[in-house]
Amino acid sequence: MARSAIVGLTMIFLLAVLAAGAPMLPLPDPMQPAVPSFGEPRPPTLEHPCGTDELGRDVCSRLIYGARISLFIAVCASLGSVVTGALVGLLAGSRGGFLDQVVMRFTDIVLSFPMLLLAIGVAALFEPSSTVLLLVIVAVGWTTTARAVRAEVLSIAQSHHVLAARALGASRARILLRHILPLLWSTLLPLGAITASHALLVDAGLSFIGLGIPPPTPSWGRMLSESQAYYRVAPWLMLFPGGLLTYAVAGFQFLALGLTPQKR
Amino acid sequence: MFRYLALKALSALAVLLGVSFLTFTLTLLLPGDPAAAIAGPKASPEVLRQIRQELGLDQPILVQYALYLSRVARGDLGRSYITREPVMTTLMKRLPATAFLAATAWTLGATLGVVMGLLPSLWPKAKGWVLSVSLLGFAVPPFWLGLILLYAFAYRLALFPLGGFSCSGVVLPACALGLGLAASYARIVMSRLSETMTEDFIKTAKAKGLPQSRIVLRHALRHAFLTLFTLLGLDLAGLLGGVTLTETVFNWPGLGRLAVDAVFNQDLPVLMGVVFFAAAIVVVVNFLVDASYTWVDPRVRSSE
Repeated sequence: MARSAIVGLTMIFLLAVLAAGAPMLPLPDPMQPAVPSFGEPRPPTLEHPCGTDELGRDVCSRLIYGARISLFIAVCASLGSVVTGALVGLLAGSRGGFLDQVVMRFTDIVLSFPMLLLAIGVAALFEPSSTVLLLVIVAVGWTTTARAVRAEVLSIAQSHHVLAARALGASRARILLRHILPLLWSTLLPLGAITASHALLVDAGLSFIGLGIPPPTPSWGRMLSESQAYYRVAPWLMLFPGGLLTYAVAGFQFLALGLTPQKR
Repeated sequence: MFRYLALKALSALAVLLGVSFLTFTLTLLLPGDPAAAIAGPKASPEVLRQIRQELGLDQPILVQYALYLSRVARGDLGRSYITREPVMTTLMKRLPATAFLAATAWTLGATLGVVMGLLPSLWPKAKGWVLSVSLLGFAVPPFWLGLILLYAFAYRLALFPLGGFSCSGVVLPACALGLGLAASYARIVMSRLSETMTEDFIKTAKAKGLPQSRIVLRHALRHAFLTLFTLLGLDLAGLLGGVTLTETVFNWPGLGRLAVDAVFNQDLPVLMGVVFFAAAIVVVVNFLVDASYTWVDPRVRSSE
C-alpha cells in the first residue's frame, strides 16, 4: 500500500510546485481582467486554457493562485490540528483519572457538532481572514487526533518496553517522550494527511458560503459559489475549481491510505 | 444491561449539557449588543434596558447560562432577529425537508455502500474497481458533485427540476450526498469482511460445506455490520442536522440552507439554534445507537 502514498505525495507535490512557482509562471494577473469583458464568461481557448470568468479574469491563473492559499491553509490547519490533538491525547492518555475524563468528555462535546456547521457558527462571529479561517479549522479539527492518540497512548503504555522503563525508574516525562512518542508517528502521519483533506473541504465550504478569505483573493470555494450564477452558459467555471479541489483532496487521501500501517 | 443503559443515558445528558454550554459561550462572543440587535438601531435606552432585563443580560454570566439552560429545556431557543419568529418554530418548519433529503441520501448510501463492499468477497475481480470508486467517492465534494449533476441531469437533460423542494427534486441531492456515504461504507464493509473471513466461525461454516455466498451474506456480513452500525447512526444524525452546502446548491429549504441564510442575514440566534439543534440530534442518535447495541450485539447484553 506504500504505492498509494507515493501516488498521493506526487499529486500534492505537483500542485505545490505549481502553486509555489505561480509568480514565476507566465500567468496573467489573477485579480485583473485578462480580456475585455462585458459580464460574459468566455470558454477555454489556447491562450486561456480554463476560460475566463465574468470579469474577464483568467480562470487558470486564479486556480493556481487559489491553490497557494488552499494548500497553505490545509497544511497549516492540519499541522495545528494534529499538534493540538496529539498534546490533548498525550495529556489525557498518560495522566488518566479525572483529567482524562474531563478532557475526553470535552472532546465528545466538540465531536457532537457537525464539523462544517460548527465551523460556520464560529467563523460567522469574526471578520473573515486567513488567520480566522485557520483557527476555525483547527478548532473543529483536533478532536479525531486527540481520540486516536489517547487510545494509542493507553495501549502503548501497557507494552513491555514501557513497563521495563518504569521498572528502571524512568520519569513520567522521559517515558512519554522517549518511549511512547516515537511509536505515535505511525498514527500521526496518516491522521495529518486525513486532516489536511478535511481542512481543504472545510476551507472550500466556508469560502463557498462567503465565510472564507475575502475577495478579490482567488479561492476555489468562492469561485465555485460564483460559478452558480453562470452554470448554464459557462459550466467550465464550476468544472475546473471543483476538479482541482477533488484532485487535491484525493492526493491527501491517497497519502493517508498509503501511510496507514497495514495489519498482519 | 440496565446499568449499561443508565450509564450511557447519563453520559449523553452530560454531553448535551456541554453542548449547550459551548453554544452559550459562542453566543457570548457575538459582536455587538444582542439587545440592540433585537430592538433595532432606533431604540430608546429604556427599551434597550427593558430587553436586557427580559433576557437577563444584566445578570452575571453563570446566571445567564442558567437562564439560557432553562429556556432551552423548555424548547425556547430565542427569536430570529429578522422574522421575529421563535427559532424553535423556524427549525421545526425546516426539519421535514432536511429529514426527507437525509433519509433518502442515507438509504441510498447505505444500500449502495453495502452492495459495493460485498462485491469483492463474492467476486474477487471487483476489488480494484470498488476501491477506486470508493476513493473517488471520498474525494469528490458532495456540493460540487451536486453542481455537476444539476448541470447534466436538470439543465442539459431536463430530467429533474433545477432545485427546490419536491419529490423528483430529492433525487439529485440524494445522489450527490449518497455517493460519499456509499464510499465510506463500502470501504468499511470490505475491510471488515476480509478481517472476518479469517475468524474461526467462518472456518466452521466453510468446513460445513456452505456455499461462499451464504457464508458471506449470512455469517460474515452480520459480523461486519456491527462496526457499520455506529457509523450509520452517526451519519444519519449528521445529515439530520442539515447538509449545509448541498442544500444551498439545490435550494433545498432545510436546516442547512437556513444556517447559510442566517449567516447572510447576520441572524445569529437562528444560526446558533441550528448549530445547537444539530449537535443535540447527534447526541440523541448516539445514545440510541449505544442503546440498540443491547439488541444488536448479544455480547453487550450479557456483559452486565
